Amino acid sequence: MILALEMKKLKRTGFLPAIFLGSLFACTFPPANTALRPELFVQQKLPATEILLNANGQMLSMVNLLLTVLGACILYHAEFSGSGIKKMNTLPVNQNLLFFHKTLLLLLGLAAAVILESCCLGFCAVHWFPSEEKLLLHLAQHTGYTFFLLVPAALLMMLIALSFENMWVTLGIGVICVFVSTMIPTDTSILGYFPFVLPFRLLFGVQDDEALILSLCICLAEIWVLMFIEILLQKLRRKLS
Amino acid sequence: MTYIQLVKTELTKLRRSHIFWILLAPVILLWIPCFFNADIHFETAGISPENSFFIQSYLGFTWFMFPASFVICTVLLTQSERTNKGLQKMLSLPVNPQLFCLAKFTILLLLAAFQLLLMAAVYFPAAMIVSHMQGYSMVLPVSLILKESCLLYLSAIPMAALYWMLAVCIHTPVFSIGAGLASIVPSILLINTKVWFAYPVSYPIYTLMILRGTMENSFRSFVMDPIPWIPVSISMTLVFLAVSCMGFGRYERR
Amino acid sequence: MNTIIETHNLTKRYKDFTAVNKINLHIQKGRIYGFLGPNGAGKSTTMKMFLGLTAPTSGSFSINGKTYPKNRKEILQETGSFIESPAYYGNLTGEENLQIIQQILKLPKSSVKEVLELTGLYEHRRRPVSKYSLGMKQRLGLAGALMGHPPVLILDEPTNGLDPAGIHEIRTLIRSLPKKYDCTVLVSSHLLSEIELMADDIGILNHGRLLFEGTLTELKTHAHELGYPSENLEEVFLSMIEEDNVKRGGRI
Repeated sequence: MILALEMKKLKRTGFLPAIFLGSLFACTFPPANTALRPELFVQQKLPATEILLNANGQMLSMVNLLLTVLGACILYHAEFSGSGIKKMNTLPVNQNLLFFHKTLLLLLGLAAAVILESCCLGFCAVHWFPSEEKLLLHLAQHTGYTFFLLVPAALLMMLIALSFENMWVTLGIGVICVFVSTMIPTDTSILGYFPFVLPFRLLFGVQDDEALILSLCICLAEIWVLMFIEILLQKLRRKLS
Repeated sequence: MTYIQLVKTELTKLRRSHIFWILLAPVILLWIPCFFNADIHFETAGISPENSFFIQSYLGFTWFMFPASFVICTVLLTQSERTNKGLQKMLSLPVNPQLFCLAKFTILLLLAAFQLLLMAAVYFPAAMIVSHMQGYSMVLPVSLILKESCLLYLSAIPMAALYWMLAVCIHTPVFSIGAGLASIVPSILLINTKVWFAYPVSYPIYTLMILRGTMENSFRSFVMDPIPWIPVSISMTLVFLAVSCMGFGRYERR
Repeated sequence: MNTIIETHNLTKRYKDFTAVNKINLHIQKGRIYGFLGPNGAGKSTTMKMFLGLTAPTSGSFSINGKTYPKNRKEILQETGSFIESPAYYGNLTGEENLQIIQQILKLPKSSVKEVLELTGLYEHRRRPVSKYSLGMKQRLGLAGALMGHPPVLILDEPTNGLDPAGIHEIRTLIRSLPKKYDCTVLVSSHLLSEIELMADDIGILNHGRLLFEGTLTELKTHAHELGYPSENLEEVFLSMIEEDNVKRGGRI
């Protein structure tokens, strides 16, 4: 029920068009990049998905992160701008549940964006690398991995959005986080696992299975920790208000 | 009201808008990582450490934070007029809307100049600290920094016009910010193509790449041909400004 | 007479400022209780505490035998509220805003139409709330509070921002509620004339302290005993506040 309500609240906020246009925009990179200089890519002796991701992966991650920031801003701006959240607080609903359903909506939007981008990569692979085997498997792996690594960033961004009533503060923090993350190499020991840096890891950039499993485990741990922080934050909020 | 007077009133509107902090924060943030990984500049082949230090720091700034600051400033400038209907009041006064729009654009250019100045001002102490830490002089001559800042500034004007147009024409702030931020992402890709001059957002980074080409032996050299770049950029700037002047206050006057 | 809302030394303190100071309210079931006081007297804070929007520093209260924070959900389930400036989702229409409340409170769909008609918003139901006038937003807030005929209604200055005709209409509506739906209404205002026309019982609050509690007749008697000019209740109220302010240290 709450999910249906939260979806209703999204009407006319521009959340869906933002996600859709954003991912459509991201989808223009791989074909444009490959079409402008095909000679650079078609000769490489690597799986097609890997070549395409090496060329465009960073940019796709960046768009996905910016979409996360914008999505979180829109979701909570709808609550704060007309003080709708105050009304919610006077109704018998669990505030944690509201938060998690909102996050779920953001994740659904991001999943759609990631899938759309993967389809676009698939199109490029079929078009420029016709003899490619295992394409579907590689694409599916990439999609799952990319989406999973986005979850901590989405949760963190939603936490930030929940904490600041002024959307501009949320947006500013989000943009700065994305920016700083582009400066941190993914192989840095601790900073490399910051939620906003994780999405810059590409499936094919990981050296071995051990590193892959480590990144997935850390990602999962971050998800649990962030969820726990959310519950604490709501408790603290009620105490301090 | 003359243009100069309008610019003055616009400057007073900036009071207590926290815009100074918005300009300063990215500059400070940018220099913090430099202290932690200062040693990497000694490992890069084909470029001297002091040049590498300068290029890497300015690269981060020019590629994302400088355009992003433009996006935030443009939206802030338009929103401060819209939130409490200030623009409606202004339009009910004997002010030429087009001139008003240009005055606001001038403010944007002043803010950009201020941020570049801040960036240069923080460069010197940062370089001195790193020099002290590494026992190697990282400081480049003042003239070089000033010259590069001026070039970056000039090349950023078409981009400023583009973002100003976006902020004026797209009314929902989230969308104009979204469109602005998204437009930054492909610039790094476009500078490697032949059509880079068609995309104003990539001008500043292209300018910096030219300097990098002269400093780093193994780096591909970028050339800025005045034709077609100069005519294309000037005409684009004029078109962007014309569109924003036409669109400015249209929503309020419906 | 049975009390439905009762507070016991209810206090709310912010750092160096006491918004609500040890108040003991007794609100009778099925009556309209007017909560009166100048701006900043602590009316809204008290009402917010009833709804769990802010936690009391000390003291306690019970609504219909339920206490906070133990029975928070139950209290909210049976309390309709309208707090401060209207709270709404600007991007949604009036009808959609109410549907959200309807679904959370698990009420029948017809309840939305009912309150829309009751508050005269039915013809504007398809317009986004961001396009509503202040008066319409106020009515929408009231509609949200009335949904599902809650036994307790907490209304914070419900007539703020309405035109005289609207004020009259809302006042008549509130007046009719206890009989119609068998509910108790706690309504606040900073105008005595307003409360006088609506309420059965009155509580007067100034700087967080309860100066008076009782019926209108009792207020008149009380004023007469203290030597206030009793013909005009507004004057009684103003002089009570002024005298309290003088007692507090000459501050007005």
